[in-house]
Amino acid sequence: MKIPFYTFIKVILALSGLGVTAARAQADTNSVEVFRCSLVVQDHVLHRRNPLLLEIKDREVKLKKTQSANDLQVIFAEDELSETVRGSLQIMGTVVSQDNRSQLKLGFYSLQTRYLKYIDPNSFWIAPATSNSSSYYAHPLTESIVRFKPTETYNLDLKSYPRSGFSIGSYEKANHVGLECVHVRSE
Amino acid sequence: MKAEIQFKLIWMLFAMVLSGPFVSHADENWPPPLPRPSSSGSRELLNCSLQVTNAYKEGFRKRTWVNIKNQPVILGKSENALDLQPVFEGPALEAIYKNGIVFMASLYNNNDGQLRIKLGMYRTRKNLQKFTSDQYYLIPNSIFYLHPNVEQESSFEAGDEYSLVFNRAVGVHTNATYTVMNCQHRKSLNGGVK
Repeated sequence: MKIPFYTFIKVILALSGLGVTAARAQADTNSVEVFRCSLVVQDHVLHRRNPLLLEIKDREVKLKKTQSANDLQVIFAEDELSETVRGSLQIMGTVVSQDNRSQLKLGFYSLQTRYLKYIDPNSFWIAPATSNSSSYYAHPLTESIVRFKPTETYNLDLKSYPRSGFSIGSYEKANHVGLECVHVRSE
Repeated sequence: MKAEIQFKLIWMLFAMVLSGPFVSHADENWPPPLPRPSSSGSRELLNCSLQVTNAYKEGFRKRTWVNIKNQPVILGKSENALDLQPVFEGPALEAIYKNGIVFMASLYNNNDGQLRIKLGMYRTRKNLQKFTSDQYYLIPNSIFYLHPNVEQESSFEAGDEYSLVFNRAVGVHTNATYTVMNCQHRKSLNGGVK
């Protein structure tokens, strides 16, 4: 029996696509890493009496293992921080599992309107279609990528100050955002 | 005559105000030299890369200001997280940023005895607020200190790799917005983590 060449190619492509999809689904759903994350937003520039503007302690955060570094998951959402920093700051992370090694990516992102040509899911995190902010994408302010090790502590701090060239939000006193995530367990 | 003197005085004042930001460090040793780790004791060799580009800036042709690949960096043991050591610094970097941006690291034991590494981007500033060494890294034999822009911390083990991305302009080139520092541990010298 002769199989037409194009049918053969289509079958091969479909099978390989299924394989990729299955592998991705397996990586996405099989393993979850549980962290305890804390956040501070404060004024670090001057010696003020009450520098602490926002503190969230020991939030349990579950990060799925993914295969793409842009498959980010929300740790502290924009609506929790927007009033304090007066900006569209969102804190996200992911555990990227590739080639038998895992990396933890933590980052501070600015949610921005998705209007530029180059913004696609291959390069950026796009807000899910179900959310109110589905026309937004996450523009990275800063990202940290390190090897993921169980039970370890990971820190990321961003500090702006007068004439530093950048600001975290429009509220000048919210000039230090500090994130600490401690890995608790795997599920 | 009086009007001429007045004009000259106003012109001098105007020139002083304008040139102020550019000559403010002229009387100092700028950029101040940063001390290296001592040659004794355990040290760790890392290969570090730094890239500064205008990536993700729509409408501009791709431009690269810095592209340093696999520069060997030796880190000694720090006394604490604030005891920073240079990774990328010096006149070449200053020629690009022009505002004292340096990349530093510290390798220290925390209270639990765990070896940790801190990597960050810092700006050299005059210590006008009299910060102490408990708050920031004070550059020895100078009036400057290092103010952090962004810092990351994690545990340190042999063969680990660390990346820090910063996506905002921090120097005079407003389009030089995308900075990526990457360091990978290569080997231990004089006995270290192995």
